[in-house]
Amino acid sequence: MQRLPARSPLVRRLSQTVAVLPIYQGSVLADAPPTFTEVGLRYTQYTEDALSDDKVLFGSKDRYDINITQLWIEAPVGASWSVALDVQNDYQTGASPWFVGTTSEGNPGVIMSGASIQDNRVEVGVTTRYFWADGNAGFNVIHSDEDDYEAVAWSMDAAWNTNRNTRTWTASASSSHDTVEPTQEKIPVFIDKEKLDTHSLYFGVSQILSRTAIVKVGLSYTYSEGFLSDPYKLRDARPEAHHRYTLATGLRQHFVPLDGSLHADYRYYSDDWGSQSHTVSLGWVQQWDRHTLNPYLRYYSQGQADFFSPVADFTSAYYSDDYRLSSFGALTAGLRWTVEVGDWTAEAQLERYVSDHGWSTFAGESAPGLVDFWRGTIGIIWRFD
Amino acid sequence: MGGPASITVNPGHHTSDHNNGTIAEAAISTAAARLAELERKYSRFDPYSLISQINARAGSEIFTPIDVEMRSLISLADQLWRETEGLFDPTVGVLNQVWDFNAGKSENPDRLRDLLDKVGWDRVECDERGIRLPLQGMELDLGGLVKEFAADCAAAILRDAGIRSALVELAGDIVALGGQTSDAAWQIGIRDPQAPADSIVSVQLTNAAICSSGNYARRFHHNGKFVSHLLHPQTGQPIDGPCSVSVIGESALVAGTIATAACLQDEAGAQTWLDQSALPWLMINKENYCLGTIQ
Repeated sequence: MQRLPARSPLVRRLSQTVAVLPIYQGSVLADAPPTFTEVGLRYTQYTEDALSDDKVLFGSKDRYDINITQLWIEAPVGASWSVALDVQNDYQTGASPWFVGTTSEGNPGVIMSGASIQDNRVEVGVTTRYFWADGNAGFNVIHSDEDDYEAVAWSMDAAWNTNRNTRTWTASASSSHDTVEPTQEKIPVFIDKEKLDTHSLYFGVSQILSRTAIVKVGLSYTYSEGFLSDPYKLRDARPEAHHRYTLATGLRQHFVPLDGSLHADYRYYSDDWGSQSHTVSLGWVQQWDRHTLNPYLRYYSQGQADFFSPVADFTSAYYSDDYRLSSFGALTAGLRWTVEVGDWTAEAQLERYVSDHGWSTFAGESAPGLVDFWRGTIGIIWRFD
Repeated sequence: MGGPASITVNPGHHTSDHNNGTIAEAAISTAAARLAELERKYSRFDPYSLISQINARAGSEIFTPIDVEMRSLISLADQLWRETEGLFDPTVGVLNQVWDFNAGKSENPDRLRDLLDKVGWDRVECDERGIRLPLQGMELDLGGLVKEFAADCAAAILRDAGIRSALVELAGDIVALGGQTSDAAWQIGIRDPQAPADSIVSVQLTNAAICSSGNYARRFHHNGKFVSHLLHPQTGQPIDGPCSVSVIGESALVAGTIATAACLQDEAGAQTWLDQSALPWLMINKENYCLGTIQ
């Protein structure tokens, strides 16, 4: 089977001239499985900054390092199906905040879990997808296993095109069933085995506005029930149910003279734990010969959960000093680069994330354990018939 | 467009509606009507076509209004003219008047020089009022684009009708909708220039277009060379280009224009151009030697 490569700059320039015609909006042709087999290997190094001296009362200042290796293969099966296998291995070392205490002056500070945590997680996922003239539908099963956590999840999704392929509707449903069995190491844990079930629904639509612009909007709802606390945090006690809602919108605007595209996204999140967040992302995707450069910037602002307290609160039924439930703002800056050479695509990405209580647009208390991190990724993809 | 046209729908591989045959027949009729409409609009041989109106007004101050469709095709022609540094020129057809392709010479070199003054895409005026050819005798011919566009239009009509397996073929430009069956691609033969009834290569195609541009049927001897009937817009002389070029793309329009523009260049230039497109291609040179990336 003859494989069609990604559009070269020449083909993109020619295609742009007729993209206003309805038959060239979306695709002239039907949805179809890939005409080639793709094999990819990607390695990601995630490194959290060490905490500063004034934020740690006891324990290591070093935090998590995670090495993530992903391998995937996707291949067509007949003229209407594709199947994909994804395998991911995460190796995690380091320490995380155990609880927040106070100094003799009354300032909050973190007691760390100690640099003893080592964990390895292996996730295997299989996806099969069916394509028809106006859309496609997929079914995915994932199994994830690590020393203290096991998860089995499935998802179904469908996308179908209307209005001469200028409008694409997307719907998905997923469910995961997790079992947590904390390991007893240097910090005490108080549970043996707990369950957590999570169910999620998504519905979205994207619309081609013109030959150079696409907008999209999507709504999601996620419900979790079971053990939602962190067993490795002292006295962490969260409600046994969690309802989460998101509204996400996006614009893709291509600029023909520059052969580049602006990506602008906004996401609003709200849950029944009293937390809300805004996420605004701006990115620029520049095509240059066989290279693609994608610098991006993301701002995130979160309001704290109702039961968050920076130091132990024994009066409430629910309590957590987890910095992830506090009020804070975060900035992410990154650069992604890909290059295509024949059947091969190489990619590299570097991202810096920094957070600060003062950057939040929401009121709330600060947490001393806010995280900053670097993330770097390299990968290679091979496509063949 | 003036060539043979065929539409093949594979029974049993289209819409889930129980009345498959009726839907397929209706879609084929609609596609055939669309092809006829495009023929009436863009043919330079039909005196009532839009192209003939534009050509008839050459040299006058009158702009002929054009719709979005034609404006887009004009825009593509303009982009091709720029990309090929003027080799792809929709006004070059006027030079055919002075060439006797059988004899391999221009009938009247003085007239050739006069007609060269009437060639030049950069002289064509196109704005919000429409399009105008400023010199009497200038001619516009979008034949290098319209056949491929028509193939895409016919395929889109079939797809919109829910048909999942079909083949649209317009004189060498082919659009495959789906595979021939749910498990097998369409088998497309690329013509052997030495024996046009035979295939030199066979390719498998699913949801893609393959377009061939070639001059094997209309080549002639000139100055001791076997050359193309395609003429260089700046010199008026025949182009010593490849014998045939086939390109596979997601649309016939882009694949076809890439193939056509390749045939306007010498073999080295064509190869560079085709590599630049990054689309799968096959070039058959004058020695009937195949090279390219089509597998």
